[in-house]
Amino acid sequence: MSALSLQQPRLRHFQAMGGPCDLAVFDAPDSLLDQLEAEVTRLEQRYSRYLPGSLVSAINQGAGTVQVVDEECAGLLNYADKCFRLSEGLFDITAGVLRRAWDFKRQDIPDPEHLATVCKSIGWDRVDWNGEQLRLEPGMELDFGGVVKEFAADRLVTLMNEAGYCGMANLAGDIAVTGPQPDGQPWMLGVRDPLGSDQAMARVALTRGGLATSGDYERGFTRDGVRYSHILNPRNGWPVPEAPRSVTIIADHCIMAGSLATIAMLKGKEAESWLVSLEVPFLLCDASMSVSGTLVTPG
Amino acid sequence: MSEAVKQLARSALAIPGLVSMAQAAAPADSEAGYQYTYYTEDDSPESRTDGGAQERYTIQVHQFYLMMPYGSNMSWDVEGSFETMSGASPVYTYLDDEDVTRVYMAGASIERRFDLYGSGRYYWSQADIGGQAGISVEQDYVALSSGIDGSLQINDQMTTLSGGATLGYDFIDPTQDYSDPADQQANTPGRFAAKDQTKWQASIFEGVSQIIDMNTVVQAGASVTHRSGYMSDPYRERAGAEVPYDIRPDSRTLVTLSAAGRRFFPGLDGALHLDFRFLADSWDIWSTTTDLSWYQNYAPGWDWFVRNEVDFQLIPSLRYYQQTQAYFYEIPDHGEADPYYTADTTTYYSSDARLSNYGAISLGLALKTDFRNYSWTIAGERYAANPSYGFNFDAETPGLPAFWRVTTGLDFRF
Repeated sequence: MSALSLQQPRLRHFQAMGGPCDLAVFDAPDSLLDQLEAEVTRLEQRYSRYLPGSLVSAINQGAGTVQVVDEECAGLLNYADKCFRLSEGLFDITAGVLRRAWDFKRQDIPDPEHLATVCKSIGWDRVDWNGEQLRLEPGMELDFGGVVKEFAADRLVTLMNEAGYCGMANLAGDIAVTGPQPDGQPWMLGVRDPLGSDQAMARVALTRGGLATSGDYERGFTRDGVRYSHILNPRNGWPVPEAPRSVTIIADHCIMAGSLATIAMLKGKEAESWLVSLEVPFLLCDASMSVSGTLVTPG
Repeated sequence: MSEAVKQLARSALAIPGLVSMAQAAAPADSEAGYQYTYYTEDDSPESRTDGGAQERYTIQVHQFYLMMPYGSNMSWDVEGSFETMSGASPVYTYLDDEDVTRVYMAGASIERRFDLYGSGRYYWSQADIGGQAGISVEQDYVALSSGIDGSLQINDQMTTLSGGATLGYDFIDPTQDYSDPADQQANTPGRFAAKDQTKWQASIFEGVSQIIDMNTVVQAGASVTHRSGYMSDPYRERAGAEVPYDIRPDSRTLVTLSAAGRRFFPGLDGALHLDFRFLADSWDIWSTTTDLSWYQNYAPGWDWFVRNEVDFQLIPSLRYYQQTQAYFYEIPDHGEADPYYTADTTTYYSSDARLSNYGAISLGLALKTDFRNYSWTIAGERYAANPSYGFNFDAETPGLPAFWRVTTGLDFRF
């Protein structure tokens, strides 16, 4: 056993973006870990729809007027636009208003008329966006929930890379790494069991890029034998029928893994064939809890 | 990875801060390419050519290059080319006994040229610096060149400053018919004068590029070049003349100023490129070059058997060039005895058409096809030069060329 493999990363655990955040960085000084934590806070304060002072809250309050956004926000909007087109409208950052109709904590099934009314405020294709200026129709809202946590994971490993450190960022399951560990070994990661047990459904090795999982185990519920996934079709507001229980993807960047996993969930029973056509490594647990995919899982 | 995922990756990489700028700046892929060029000049006009029409130059060029990243912050590349030239070139222009402007052409010859260049580049987060060196070898000419250049992004990466310097040193050794120096001196004094001569040149250039908005970039640049050494053309000769038939100053300083604009039109998915360059030199030549190109993108989204993702770019272009003549450009009148061409080697003179007052128009059309890791390019150009294009309606310059050029190349990224 080499001396390197005895090396242990410095760990930092904190809560942000609505979940647990874990950093593991080899030889990192406290100042770097502080900087990484501050970056997550910065992104949360800009892009959280729950914080009244956030950039996104300001944009949403300004619906109906033309608003100029900065380069970072423009980059995220362009990326979301690409996802919208790639998914033929399924990945829609204006779909966050569905929370007005759905309350997964109370496990209420919404009134169909109310849901239809809410759906009238959804449609990225109706947003005027020219790459610099944005105009939301009155009543519309942006929700970066599907991209910002993943983007934050990528930002953290970029900051680690720029400072010359090797490490991993895990923001509630959205994971990015700078590369293999210093001894050349991959990072071994457990994929959560969709049934919610403490046992990992699978273990995967990550040597570069990012890994993200989208699943309905966190907020879905079952009522009268019907499973109500929190994966909602932005076109009609109802849960996607036959959606997989979870999709895990490895991609060049965590933001890509996250959005591809989300789109796959929204594809419902088409998820697997769509993922195969994309030629990305994935692990899919379907509605009947059967696991398939091309992601290599070491024994 | 499918083309759809690659497009998504490009969109992700465009988010500021997703990857460090150093990673983004250095090339991630290796690239290799081959390009073939066929260039053919129109025949010299029969009515104005000594001995009737003559086939002018046909040139074929084979170019190869390989560029590879080295580590995460460096790249290197090597380029080689092999060129064959055949045909005749103008030796001198003159007024005959009836004051008709004629051009005397050299006999057809075959020449070869080999070029080899290497360069390396280092990338920082918002800057890069590169160095290059090269050699070009012909039967009668060896040229060495070297240079450094760099760029720096400032102002939130909206402004790019670039600059560099090059140095070159050339060895001239006309080799034809040196078997009998006495004959050589008597018959072709130009070649004899050029034997073992050298010249050097140094150049510095600066540029600035400013992003105005996401669809518009403007650029400006300036350069100064100084050349010193033997710059006469040893092959411009006249049988029987006692002195070289082309004697040029041994120093030349050139200054250029350039401006350019690029504007992308999202609705048309195309971009307009406009470039303008002004040059003035110590030989009294002033010239302007104006380039206008349209880059039309077309992504048909073909899906035959597999996802093809073939993208096209069609580039029509128009170039207009005009220049004034060098102060020593002169068409000798063979109907008169002219002392310049018989004994005096202290006065500069040349009848090289490229030093005359003329203009040129060039029309081009290029098609670039991207398919997965491959790019295939084919381009055609028609060029014609004429004194009247340069608003010079008083002179005739039959030595000016008109040519067709066809280029095709294949690039591979891996």
